[in-house]
Amino acid sequence: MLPSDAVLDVSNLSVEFPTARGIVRAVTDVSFTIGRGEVLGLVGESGSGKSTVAHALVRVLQRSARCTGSVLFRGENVLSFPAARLRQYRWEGVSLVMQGAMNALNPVLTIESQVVDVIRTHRRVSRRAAKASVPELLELVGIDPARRGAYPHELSGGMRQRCVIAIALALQPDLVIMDEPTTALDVVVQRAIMDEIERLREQLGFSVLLISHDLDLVAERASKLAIMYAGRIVEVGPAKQVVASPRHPYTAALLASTMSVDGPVDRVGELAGRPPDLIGVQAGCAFFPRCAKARPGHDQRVPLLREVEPGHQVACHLYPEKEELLT
Amino acid sequence: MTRAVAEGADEGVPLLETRGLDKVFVSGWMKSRKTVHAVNDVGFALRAGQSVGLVGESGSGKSTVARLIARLERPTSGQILLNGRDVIAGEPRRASRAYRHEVQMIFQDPFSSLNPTHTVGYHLRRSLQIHGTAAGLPWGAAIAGLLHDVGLESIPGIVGRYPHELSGGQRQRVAIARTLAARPALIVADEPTSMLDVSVRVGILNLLGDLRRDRGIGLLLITHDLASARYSTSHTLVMYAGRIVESGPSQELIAAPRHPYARLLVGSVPRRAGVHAAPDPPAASSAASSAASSAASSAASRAVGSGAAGQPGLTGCPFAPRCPARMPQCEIAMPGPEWLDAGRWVRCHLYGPGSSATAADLATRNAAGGQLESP
Amino acid sequence: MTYLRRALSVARRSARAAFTRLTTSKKAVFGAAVVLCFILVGLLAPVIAPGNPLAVVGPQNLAPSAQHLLGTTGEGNDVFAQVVWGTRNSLAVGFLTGATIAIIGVAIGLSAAFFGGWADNVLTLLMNVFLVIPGLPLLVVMAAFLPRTTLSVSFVLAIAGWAGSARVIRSQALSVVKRDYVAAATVIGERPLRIIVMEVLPSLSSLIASALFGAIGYGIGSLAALQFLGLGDLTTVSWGTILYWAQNNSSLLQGTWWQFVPAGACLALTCAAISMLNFAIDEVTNPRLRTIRERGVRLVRRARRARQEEPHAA
Repeated sequence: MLPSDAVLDVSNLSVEFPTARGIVRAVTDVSFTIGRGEVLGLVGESGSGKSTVAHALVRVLQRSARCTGSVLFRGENVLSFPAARLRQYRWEGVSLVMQGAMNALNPVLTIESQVVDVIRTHRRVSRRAAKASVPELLELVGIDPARRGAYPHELSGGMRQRCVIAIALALQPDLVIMDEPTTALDVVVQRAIMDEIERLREQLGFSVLLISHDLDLVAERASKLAIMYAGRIVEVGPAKQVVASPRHPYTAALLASTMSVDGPVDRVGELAGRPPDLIGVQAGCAFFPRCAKARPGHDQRVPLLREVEPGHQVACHLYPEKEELLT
Repeated sequence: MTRAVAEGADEGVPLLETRGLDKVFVSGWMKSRKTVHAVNDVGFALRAGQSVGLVGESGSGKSTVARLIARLERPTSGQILLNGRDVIAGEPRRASRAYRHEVQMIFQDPFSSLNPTHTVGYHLRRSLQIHGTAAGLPWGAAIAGLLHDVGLESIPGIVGRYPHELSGGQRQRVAIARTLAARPALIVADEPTSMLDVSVRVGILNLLGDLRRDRGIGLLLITHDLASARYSTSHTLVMYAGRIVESGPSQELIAAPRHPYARLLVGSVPRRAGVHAAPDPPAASSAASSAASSAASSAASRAVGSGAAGQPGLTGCPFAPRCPARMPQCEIAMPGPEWLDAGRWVRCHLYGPGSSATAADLATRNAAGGQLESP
Repeated sequence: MTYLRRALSVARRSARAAFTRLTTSKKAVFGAAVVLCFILVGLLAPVIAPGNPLAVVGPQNLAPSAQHLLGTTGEGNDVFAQVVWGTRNSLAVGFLTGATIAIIGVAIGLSAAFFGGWADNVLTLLMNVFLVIPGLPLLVVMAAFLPRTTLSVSFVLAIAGWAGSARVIRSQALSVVKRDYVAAATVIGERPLRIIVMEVLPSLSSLIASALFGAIGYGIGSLAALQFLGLGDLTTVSWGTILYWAQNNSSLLQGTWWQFVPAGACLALTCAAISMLNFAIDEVTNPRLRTIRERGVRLVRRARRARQEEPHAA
């Protein structure tokens, strides 16, 4: 993918939070690109930093957070946007569907007024004009426009999530970040929502950053898949390839420890141990204590992402750079 | 150490049996009175040492069934039989210590199921004290034994730790250890892994499976995750709107579901290999196969409503509004159970009107035809 | 009962943790200091102001001077001595009332929440009735026909004031009772009384402490109100009776401010201090209530310090 096609180009993004116990390095040296109309899946367990990445891209982190690196949106670095440009970028450039967003709808406003709210915050239109665009938007996400006067508690979980998606698409952004968009929903509704998002993506042409802990869900929908562990990306590549032949031991362990509805029913092993504490600088590979293929020396240096196949990168000492082989 | 079979139980009597179990929740007064028929004519049986999965979406009533069996709620009507003895008739107001000794429960949220103001040691000791199962050992030794049984013995100082100092998986193991102190014959697990990290889930299911194998503890696994049910249980029941709509051996049922809702459920599960990689399940009849195509199922999933418990006054099948294979009789009468093979039945007009077999016959035949556990 | 001992040890443990956090809170320190001061004053009254506060010690309505630090009343009593001795009655009755209200409120609120059903409906009806009845008129009516002793006044205050605490505790207890660990305790086989004391009560400890302090503040303030209206025991010396006699003496018209300002100021200060303690307890249990500025400043300072120690690689 040529850089000029990229909607978002993230380089060496790091996020730190000062806490009472020390500095938490939630995200370290994360780099990826999202092309036009592409779906990038970001998979990780709790504490991997994936939600922090989502918040950092739209700059809605806590005031005490420190971001370094660059996030290029159409060539401009989001991290150095002044307030006015940031406001313009948010929602028109990139919108964010946060985790549990469907439960965060304002309970005392109708969904119509919430959509109008968003539109009028970013565009100078009259209330009437904004209201007029609501039915079309709702129909787009599969909600009957007649229900626009409903309050959030009158709608089911699936409907509320569609509202949230409608709000996210209200200004036709170039990229929509979705953080666990279907976690609280039943599997049937989940498929319906994901099909809807797919259809909208084809229709409107936006890119998607899909964040989830559900590897199967992401592998089914994303074209590119990135696995996060302890704040770093440990593997990234075409979704089908990463799932079919994972290179990083963590990816392999994650795939192996999930149950499925098809395939053999042999005993599946749990991945023992816990992710490392994110306070303090890591000396070597963060997965070293839990890695089945760990060898002495892997805990000395942090492995960097290196390409093992076209488009497929791994951050693992088992796949050293050619220069390192010589030393 | 395998658990001795309770007195009075012979080969034919299942450990747990429900017949015509009903639970109706009523709220509000006069005009704003709302009744929710959360559990409707639920009948199934579970043998000693067997694992049964109860699968359904939120609102299907599966959690209510769990709470009824754990006697946190009183059924509106119906029977719960433990080793053949009618429990509700015997102790209508509150469950006896004897019942609590036989039937235990673990909850979905491992954090909120442990009291944050008490240590791990307190939780375990209380359970030992109530049931008197320390067997003469000093508390420390008995607690250490329990921790060993759930794989937490290697964590230093865990006895004095508070729940918030443990990870989700560890907390769930503590919850399981607490139930083990009661030496139960049956553990009801209400979504025990849905709030845990993906790589930790299978560990908890493995633990429950090991306990079943080593001690003969039966498992009633409530879950919305079909993959967990397939992995952990030998027999699965699919619930929709308070009713059991299909029942059968887990692997068979999930590989080839018959009821249109079960097919929708199985078809909706994300597949690693891609969206349309799910194989077409074999059809019972031509009507069923043409009706349950994937296109139709997507229409059903977008239709209004979810698996919420049925409204009173509707006599037909609750899935009829969403069913791609809907027929006129579906809106009139709820079909009875129709036996397909040994151990498999479905409640759907596509397969027949179903017998007017009472839930009792159903449960007994279920137990007889249910797959035996492989060691 | 062994579980009471256990409940106390749990309380002790959480109290120790809370104590360390309280000592760093400015509000708590101020509030505690003021209250402790007054308690000391009350305890050491015979030392600070020896003699009978109702004794006539000089001419009436004398302005503050070296002999009489706060002047004299309309009867010729020393105002300073009265204020000092009055601390005893005001605080004692206030604390007694507060404790009574807290106990009744906890008992009724918890029972209503835990047992639910018709018990809840009956108790809630009772609560609502007492809440709806206007407080002061109720106090006046009850005080009018009950004996004018300290104990009966305290009783009257408790009757009029228990419903507020009970209602607050009930609504919080309702959410605690629904939590999984209460259901888990039931399934394990715990008896209801034990569940209430060992599972529900500890989770409400901060709320109960808050209700206690609120009730104490109410006790002190309402006692003074009753006494001011002449419905208290007029033979005792209390901040409220001082105000009564001052009113009787038309101090405001006469301009003899020393006869009511000190007592009034003590009342206001004590109630404010108790409120501060209340806020401090809320902050300790709910860290999000700490002022954002306070939190942000601390974090920024720490971040700056940390950055100086670890130069950040670009």
